[in-house]
Amino acid sequence: MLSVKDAQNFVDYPNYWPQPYIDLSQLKQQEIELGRNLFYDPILSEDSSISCSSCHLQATGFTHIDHNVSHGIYGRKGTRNAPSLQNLAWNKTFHWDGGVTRLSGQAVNPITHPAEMNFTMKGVLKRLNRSEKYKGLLKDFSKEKNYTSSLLLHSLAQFTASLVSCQSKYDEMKAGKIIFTEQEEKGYQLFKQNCSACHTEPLFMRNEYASNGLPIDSTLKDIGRFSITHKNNDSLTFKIPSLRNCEVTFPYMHDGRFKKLKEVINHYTNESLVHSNYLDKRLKRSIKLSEMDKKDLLSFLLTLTDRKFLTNKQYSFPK
Amino acid sequence: MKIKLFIYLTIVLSNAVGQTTLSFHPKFGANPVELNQKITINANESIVFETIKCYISSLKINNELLNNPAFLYDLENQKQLIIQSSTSFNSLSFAIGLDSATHVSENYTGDLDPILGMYWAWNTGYTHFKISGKKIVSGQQDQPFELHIGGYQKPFETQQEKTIQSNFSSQIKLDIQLLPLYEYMCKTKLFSLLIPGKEAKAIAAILPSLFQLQQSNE
Ligand code: HEC
Ligand code: HEC
Repeated sequence: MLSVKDAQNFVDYPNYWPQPYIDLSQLKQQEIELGRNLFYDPILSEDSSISCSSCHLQATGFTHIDHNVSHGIYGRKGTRNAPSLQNLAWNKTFHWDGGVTRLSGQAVNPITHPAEMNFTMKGVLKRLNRSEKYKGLLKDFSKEKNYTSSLLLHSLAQFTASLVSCQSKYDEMKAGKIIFTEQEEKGYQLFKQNCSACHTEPLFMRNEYASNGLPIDSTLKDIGRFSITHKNNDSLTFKIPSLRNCEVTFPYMHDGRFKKLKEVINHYTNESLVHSNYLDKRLKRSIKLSEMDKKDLLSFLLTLTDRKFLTNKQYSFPK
Repeated sequence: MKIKLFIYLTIVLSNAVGQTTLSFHPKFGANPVELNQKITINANESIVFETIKCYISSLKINNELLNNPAFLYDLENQKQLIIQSSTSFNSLSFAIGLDSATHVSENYTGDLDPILGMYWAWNTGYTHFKISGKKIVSGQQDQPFELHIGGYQKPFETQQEKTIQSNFSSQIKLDIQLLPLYEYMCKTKLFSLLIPGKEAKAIAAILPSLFQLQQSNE
């Protein structure tokens, strides 16, 4: 069993990063391990068909591959695109509308959601307490005699909080280990001019909500942050997501409306963008990029891909 | 013999600590409310309650805060709230709902366990007061109702405080009079409320008036 100190190494991150909201040095190896087992186990869904990883796949930055809105149990469709799960400890709130303010409480949502796992907390605990495998895993815990909501939720949260992506090409460049190509460097400058006010380094996100000018989807009619705060200013605003690993986290946006990064860039450079209502003031100045610029920007975005994160065995299906 | 001694000791000890029990009794007008039992309102109107759940917290006696954990009253699984105090008291206060720190405490034990169905996953926190059932009017379709009253963030905070003054005995019985809540639903046509906001705040304001010391108490 690893000590807490090892757990610290397990979730190491660069010194210059801001303080996370969740103290990663407090994560415990055995809880992370239990959380990992639970994350990959369909035991959490009513008909034992869906696990967290069904919608949050490691190879795609723990997002739902190829689905604009997530699919859950019995093929039921949700209304939102599953976000990537990475660097969650730096998130002040969760979900596209920021309704969830505690990572540990988040898991109640997929477990009980009719279009996700459609199960009950009681049902899950009962199953875990009967399972030989999980009885075995409980032996690593001195205090717990049974599975409880607390153990279930905190260990899932510890596992997901441990998913830290900080070894991309961009990070190596920052650490002075490599230098960017000319194209990447040009793209980086364009990014700083046009994008980083919202997708702020080093996490490429902000704990804020904004409208980036997407027209409202007429069937889903998602009003975003407004549904939580009921404030007019929050109408049609969504959490500013991280762009780390965006090469693989397609489709993009809260409803997954764009399949390619090229489409995303075209959205931001479309002249009609500035005329949309609710648009965040940081985008009121139109973004003009030549075809060459767009290629450069894209090549920079690709430096955010962290292969080590996407293939890290410690985050994978437990063998 | 041993058993007698045990009983004797328990009585002595419990008196020394001073135990008061607080129990809750939902009423609809003069009728006691029972789970899934029809209550007749008049010749062609009746009502059925399927859920009544409510958090009681921040208990105070004689204005002093006790350290009781949050308590969930549940019609389906009724239990009593135990107050430990060495002195008698004539003022009892409690909050209906939970304070904001408790909502985000990430303490999922005891009555705060999400298995009890009060945890709001899409909007971190707990429902303070939950009620559901149906209004039955002859010749009409049943009108289901479901109120999840909660919210702790400004400006839509809904936790309420109730204070009762009396010469309390060691068994305090409080009615939860649901008639005004029903009248409110009928008047405003608000039969479904599942989110915090203006409506929840308005309806929460009437909750303290529902809690009344049972008449037979004094
Ligand atoms: C059916 C697909 C599905 C399943 C199964 C699922 N999720 Fe999600 N997950 C989503 C969607 C969709 C969202 C975004 C919800 C929203 O914004 O309203 C999300 C959001 C999240 C978030 C918040 C991320 C952020 O940055 O805001 C976390 C954490 C998370 N899920 C963890 C889990 C865990 C743990 C499980 C298993 C217990 C799980 N998910 C199961 C689809 C799913
Ligand atoms: C005003 C702040 C703001 C600026 C400036 C901004 N974005 Fe965004 N971006 C957002 C928000 C908000 C979303 C999520 C919108 C939604 O889903 O409704 C988003 C989403 C994205 C996504 C999708 C991520 C995902 O996982 O779904 C990409 C990619 C992206 N932006 C790239 C860029 C690029 C490239 C630029 C610069 C050209 C840029 N953004 C400028 C706010 C901004």
